[in-house]
Amino acid sequence: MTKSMKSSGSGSKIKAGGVILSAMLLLSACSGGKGAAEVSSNEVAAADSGPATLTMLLAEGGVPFSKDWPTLVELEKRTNVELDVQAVPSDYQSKAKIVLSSDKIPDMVTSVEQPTVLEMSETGVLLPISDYMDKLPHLKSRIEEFQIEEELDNWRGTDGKLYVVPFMKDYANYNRAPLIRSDILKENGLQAPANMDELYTLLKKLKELYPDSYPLTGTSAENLRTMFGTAWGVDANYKGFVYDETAGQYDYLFTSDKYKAYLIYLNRLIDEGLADPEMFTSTTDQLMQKMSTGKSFVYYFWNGEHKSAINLLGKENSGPDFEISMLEPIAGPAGKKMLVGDRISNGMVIPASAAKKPYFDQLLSFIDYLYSDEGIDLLTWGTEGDTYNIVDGEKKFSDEMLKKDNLNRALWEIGAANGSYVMLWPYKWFAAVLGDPDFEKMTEVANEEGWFADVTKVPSLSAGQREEENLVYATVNDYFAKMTEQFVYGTKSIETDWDAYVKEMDSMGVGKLKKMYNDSLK
Amino acid sequence: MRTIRRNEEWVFRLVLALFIVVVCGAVLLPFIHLLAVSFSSSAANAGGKVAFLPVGFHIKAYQFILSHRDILSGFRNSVLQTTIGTVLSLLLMTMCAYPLSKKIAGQSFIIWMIMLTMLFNGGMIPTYMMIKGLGLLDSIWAVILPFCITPYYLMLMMNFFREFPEPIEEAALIDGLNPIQILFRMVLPLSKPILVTMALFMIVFYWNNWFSSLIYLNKTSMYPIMLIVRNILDGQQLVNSGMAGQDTTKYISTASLKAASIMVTSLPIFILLPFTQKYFTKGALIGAVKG
Repeated sequence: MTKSMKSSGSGSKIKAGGVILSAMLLLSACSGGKGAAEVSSNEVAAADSGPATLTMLLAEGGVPFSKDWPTLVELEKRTNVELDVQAVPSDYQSKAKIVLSSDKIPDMVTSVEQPTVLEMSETGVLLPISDYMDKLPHLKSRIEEFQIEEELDNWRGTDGKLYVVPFMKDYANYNRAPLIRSDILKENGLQAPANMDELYTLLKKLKELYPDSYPLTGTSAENLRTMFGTAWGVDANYKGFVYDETAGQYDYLFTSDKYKAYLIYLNRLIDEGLADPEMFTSTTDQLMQKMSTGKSFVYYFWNGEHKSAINLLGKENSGPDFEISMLEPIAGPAGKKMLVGDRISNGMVIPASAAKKPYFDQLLSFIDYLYSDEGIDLLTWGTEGDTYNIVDGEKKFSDEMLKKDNLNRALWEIGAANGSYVMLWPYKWFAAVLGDPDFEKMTEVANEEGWFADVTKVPSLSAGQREEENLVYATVNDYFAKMTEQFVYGTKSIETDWDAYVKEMDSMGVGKLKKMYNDSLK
Repeated sequence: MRTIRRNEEWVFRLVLALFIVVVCGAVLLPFIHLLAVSFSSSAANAGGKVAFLPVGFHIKAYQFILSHRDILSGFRNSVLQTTIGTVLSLLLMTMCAYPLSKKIAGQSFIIWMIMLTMLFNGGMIPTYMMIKGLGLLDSIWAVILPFCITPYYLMLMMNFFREFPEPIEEAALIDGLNPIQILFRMVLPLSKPILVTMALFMIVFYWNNWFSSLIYLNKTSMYPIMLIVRNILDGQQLVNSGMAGQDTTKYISTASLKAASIMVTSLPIFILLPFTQKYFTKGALIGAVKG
């Protein structure tokens, strides 16, 4: 037996080594990738009239990629192109970064995240999309229609050009919300909370009724802040900073009085046993366990998909009355706010070398088609009469699709709803897939009444500045995360240690970052 | 007198047995728990009801994994990468470690050059450029060659060879064998413990090494099982939407899917272990040299 012990011990050593190795690789990737790829000029002559072959790097998600997906085949037919897709099964962002740093970049690299886009926009590798707007009429009109110009500015390079084709939503989605055990409220004649005081009283009541429970729970400090924190005015932010429109400068939120008030509130909940001591460290599985077994009653989380899952599991574990419902935002000092209302999730980039390809115009018109009504309908809903029907002017999924085990998977299996080439996601479609009237209704109200915090301006930094920013931010963020935890759990007193914390944060580089960001405005 | 000694021995054996039971438990129980989770219903998992026996038994998680289009090619590629990688690693590491364990000119310089790579590496993108420059992209060698010599294991092997009794090698030399013959005919047959240990290390390494495949290979048909399984798990986290009208029997929780994927991917390694056990005998060389 000791022998097998020995070998299993060494196995874990190898794994640890592997983790360190890949961590090192990732680290060095952050600083690498500056070498501009050479533009190759030996182009193949365009085929006279046949379809152009466009290459694409695609993030595989959900189901394995197939070039025979009917939706994709139909898309190719309509746009007269042939797609040569390279599917990446996992860790797409790492792979995309490497491909973008090589000299063989596919015509379309999809689903690239903002930091990569901004970093690469400095290198000259990417095609400045904004120079070709006249060839992308649908994209242009969508930008106007959605009034998304301001958010799009956050994606521009330091030269003011746009190097990315954005994946957009027509409206910000109310896809995360306060979730609450409405059956418990009903059973005890309690009201859903509308503000922070009511939330406190409610949690207190729940604790009295169920002394073994921790009424409020969560998964991580950051998740909680992006949802719960919005009502306290400590989110949205860019690395802790928010752009103050009136003063025309950046302010730091995490040493502000707003953040202090937020911490005091959370600390009180922990102190009185109203919040779960594990609310910053739980996995989603653990969270679902606590909720479905009645150990906790209130939390902030994704609603749609998660809500139906937790209700299924809860009914089995806690009885048929179990019901979790989503709430409107619980108002805090910053008002009735919830979530950042961002509508651009990521983007597709095109190598600058594509401009010299004989099929360049076809490439642009292919991309533009993805923003057209027909294109969006095909890629999100599928084919009319087959996967969806129009009833009274509204699109409805066909019975056949609704009968499937999982509607979303069924869509993926025909090549629709693919995150790599659906450039525009209508919220009506989300609502139909989720089948949750609350989501649809609240998203509408949220957009009307302004429940979403504004996306903050992202400072426009050069490559060198960005490198410095990464270094400084890493230390600042470590210390910030540690201190937040200590303040909330009461290992450090907010009253006595706050000033020292503010000073320490500043000396760690908050001041330096602030100066850098404010200088970028000039 | 005798009874006391017998008692002592009995107590010693009991303590030993207890210790082994505890150690076995520490290793086995988490494994059994995962096995149970992988066969349990999602509601039972979410309710925290599963300990060491499945609750609401089903095999959906396994069906889900094994029905993936690329699962077979994944297994095949993993076996291929692991076999070729391990054999090549062993060969190259032996041929590197054995001479370096002797006093030769420039020995410490070479060792330092090798050890340097433990401290510094070129980074992901430069390494990618080099692999590309060597024309290895999209070939199995891209995920094997860079890892053939691992400095840490090389050091272990060198230490082993250093302690190899010199008189045996001298005797072989006198009997007319050249150094290469000595290595392959005398030293290696007597070094099975280190070879098997290294082989196990390398097998586990190559089996788990999915990241280089992701970076250097571009065809799905070349991806190893670990990458396919990651893809399945990523996908399941995405698939949660659109669950309206579903009943729990159809819903596969990520917990059981994760557990099942651990079972599926670690099974081959577990099957290997018993066959290698007999080589883990210490003192293969005891008594070979009269002191």
